[in-house]
Amino acid sequence: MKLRGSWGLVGNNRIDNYKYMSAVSVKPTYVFGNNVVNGAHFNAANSDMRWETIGMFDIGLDLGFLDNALNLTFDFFNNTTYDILMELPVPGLYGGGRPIQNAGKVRNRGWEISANYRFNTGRVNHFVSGNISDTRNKVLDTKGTIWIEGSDVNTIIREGYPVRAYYAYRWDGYFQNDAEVAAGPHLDGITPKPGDIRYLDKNGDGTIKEDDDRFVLGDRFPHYTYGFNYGFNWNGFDFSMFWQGVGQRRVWLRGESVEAFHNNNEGPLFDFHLDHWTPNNPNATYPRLTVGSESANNAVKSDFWIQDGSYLRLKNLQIGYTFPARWMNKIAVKNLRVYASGQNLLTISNLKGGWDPETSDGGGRIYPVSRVFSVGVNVKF
Amino acid sequence: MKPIILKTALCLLLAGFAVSCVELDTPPYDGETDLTYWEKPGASLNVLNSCYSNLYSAEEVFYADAMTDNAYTKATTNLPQAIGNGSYSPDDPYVKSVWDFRYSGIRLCNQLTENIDKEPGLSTELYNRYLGEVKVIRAFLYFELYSRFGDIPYYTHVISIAESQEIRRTPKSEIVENLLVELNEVINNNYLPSSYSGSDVGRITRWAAMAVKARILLFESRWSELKEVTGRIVAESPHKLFPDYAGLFELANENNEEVILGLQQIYPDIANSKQYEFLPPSLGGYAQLAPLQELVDNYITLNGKAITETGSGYDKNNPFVNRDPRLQATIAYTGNSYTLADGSRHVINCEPGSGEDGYGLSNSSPTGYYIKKYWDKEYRGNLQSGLNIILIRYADVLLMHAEALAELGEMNEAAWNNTIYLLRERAGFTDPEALKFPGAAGIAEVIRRERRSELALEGLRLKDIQRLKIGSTVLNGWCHGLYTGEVVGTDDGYVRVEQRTFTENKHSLWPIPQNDRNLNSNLTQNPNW
Repeated sequence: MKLRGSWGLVGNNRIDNYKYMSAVSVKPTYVFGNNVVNGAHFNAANSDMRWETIGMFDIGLDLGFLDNALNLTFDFFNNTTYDILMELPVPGLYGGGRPIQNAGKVRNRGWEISANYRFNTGRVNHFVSGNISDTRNKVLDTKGTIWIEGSDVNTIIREGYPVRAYYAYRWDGYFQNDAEVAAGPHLDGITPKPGDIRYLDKNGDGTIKEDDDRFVLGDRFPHYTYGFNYGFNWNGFDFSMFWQGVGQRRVWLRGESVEAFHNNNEGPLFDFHLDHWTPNNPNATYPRLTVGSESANNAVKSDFWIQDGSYLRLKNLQIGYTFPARWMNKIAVKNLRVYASGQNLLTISNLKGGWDPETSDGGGRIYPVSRVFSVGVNVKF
Repeated sequence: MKPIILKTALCLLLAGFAVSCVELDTPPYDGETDLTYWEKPGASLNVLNSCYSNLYSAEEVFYADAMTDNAYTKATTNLPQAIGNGSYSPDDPYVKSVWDFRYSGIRLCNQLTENIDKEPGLSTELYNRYLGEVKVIRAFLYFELYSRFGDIPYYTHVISIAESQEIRRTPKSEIVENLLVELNEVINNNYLPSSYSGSDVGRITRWAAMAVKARILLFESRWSELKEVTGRIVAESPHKLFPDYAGLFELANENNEEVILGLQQIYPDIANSKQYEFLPPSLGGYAQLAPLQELVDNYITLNGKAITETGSGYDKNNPFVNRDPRLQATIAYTGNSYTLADGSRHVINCEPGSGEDGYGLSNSSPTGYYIKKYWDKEYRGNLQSGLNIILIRYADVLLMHAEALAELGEMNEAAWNNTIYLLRERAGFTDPEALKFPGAAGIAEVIRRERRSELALEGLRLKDIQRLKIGSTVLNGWCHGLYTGEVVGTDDGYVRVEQRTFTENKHSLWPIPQNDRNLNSNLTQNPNW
């Protein structure tokens, strides 16, 4: 048994040098009298930049049992970053790009557990290992400043919430009939129809506006990330598999990856669009099908499009056989092993449309993960 | 005692070394920063040159008319289709890009006005000229902003991030006065020369400063001041109409006597591939920007009458004959042609089913018309063109002058002969009916029609719609393409291109970009957005 503990205060070296000064580059920029002339360009800079300081605390416990056949490790950490350096959004009217700024005080707190165990049953050697960890982050102090950014999806940096938490309207069911449409609330400037998404009117003024009706909708980070490994050998045969996954994550997909007839029918349709709203299907999982400007109500940013991104994936599986050394000696080979393996064989996920649950949020213009099968031979002379 | 004194002295000495006089902000040795940039000769000129490249882009000029009844773009994202049809929101990326582009230009201008004093050895003449040029550019940038957004943040120094998160909108009327004061300072003190030569051709002249002022006065309907400043350009400047309307926009005639201010380009260094986006497929383009029937209908007939007037001689079955010659120079329709580099003619057929340029295919024009103005026959690979884009030309000055006179009730035969007559004569009209003064009744309408035809697809129509408050008339309902005679999907046989909406109390101003309102809670929104 071993108890570990550490505490430290460190500066940050993750940013480039001289970021507090605006680098000026002079390069061909414009034309006068049919001659190309130089122009000066100022890089984004922030002369008010300060050091970022991280207070790091970690406490850990290592346990060994049964002659260290079973090992357990626990860790807890709590890191507080002061004056965290981030590329924060600035208003366009600033006119000087997005320099790195000190965003305030942010806390990252988390834990990690890992275990491994080796044992034998008869002539079979088993090994099992697993780990699970989680980190939560929280903006503690920005002196009241709020940063909202993003185009496909909106995020917010605000005291008391995770860094770059999702920020949008909340959906409140569908408008089921004309009476409900008449009752509102409506997005400013858009008149919905039955089957369209209804949004929660946070301030109760009857109009849904970005100014006062958006909610902080939780973070975008994976939580409870885990992995699990199991394998055995027996009589020259070996087997191993690796599972990994995420226990909790919200992912916000937009555009053609989730919307039917997106952008005037540029994108594909998916099977989950079949269960769309009609007067006879009032509890559908998708609103009424719309195209073009009719989609305006449903396409605005809301938690309707934020999905459960948790998953479990069989990342790797391998079966091999090593031929007995006594056979191999006869043909002057030290070692001969044949194996078959597969990657990404199985994924269990709730994400609609079959998208890779590891995708980052946004427009979904991504390649799916590939499933790989391979067979091989290892020969040592 | 003595060793203690010695030790103390030694300590103090060492402490003295520890706080030596090296500055903490040391410039890097491998690159220039704003710490030392301004101390070198040429610093101001390089920043000034960058200001020019932040004034306008070829794309913005070309696509400006897609927000009007002159043209339509079939591109749905990052271009102004949504603005044209009224479905845009405060999140619209095009609205944001126009805003951001102008404010980054304003920041550069402010860098120069704030730091020009630091450059050593700059002569008074150049100092004044640089300041004159940059103040005109800054006024132009602010004009382009306030004319779209109304009240906007207005500042003339390099602002900090903290300021950008707190600054409020300045009332439009206050901005207009400030811009006019700055322009008058430049004009009245003769900071700028009348013309440039050699490697300075293309810079802002005294006349360009006056023309920018005229643009603002026109937008504000300040007619007597407009009459005065345009009258001065007409009387005193060396500018005049280029003899050939079509030739005005050709590579061989760049910076001709009619051009007052142009976006200077050259292939391959500073070029654009916008030709690719409006030319017909038979010339390698994909026509995502195309003129509308409404623009075609604006052109008068050879006897000077609108096509809807009795006696115009307009023949619906032969719509392109007997028309204002500028129609042929501006828009490619069935039977019209582009002249190629070898002098041969490339004839276009827009009829449905006629081939790759015919209406109804995914790469052909969504309206059945193609843009011909600014066709660069010397274009290179990927339709790259280094053709200059004209921002202000003398014809515009004549039209502004004529409109001011008409509004003041001073338009008469002599004034006509000094303005509209010259434009029609240059365009190629010969019929005395088209050239003579048509009388004071309804003259403002005649001049505005002339303005729309003469300056079509040069990016000025949107401001005319805004100042004349005609958006709810001309930007509501269907806009149209060519005549096909079909029953379905047409109005009177003209194909329906797009249904548009315009509400004066909302769309007369663009919304303040949501991005900036997210980050600066002092920025209010325009009405009904």
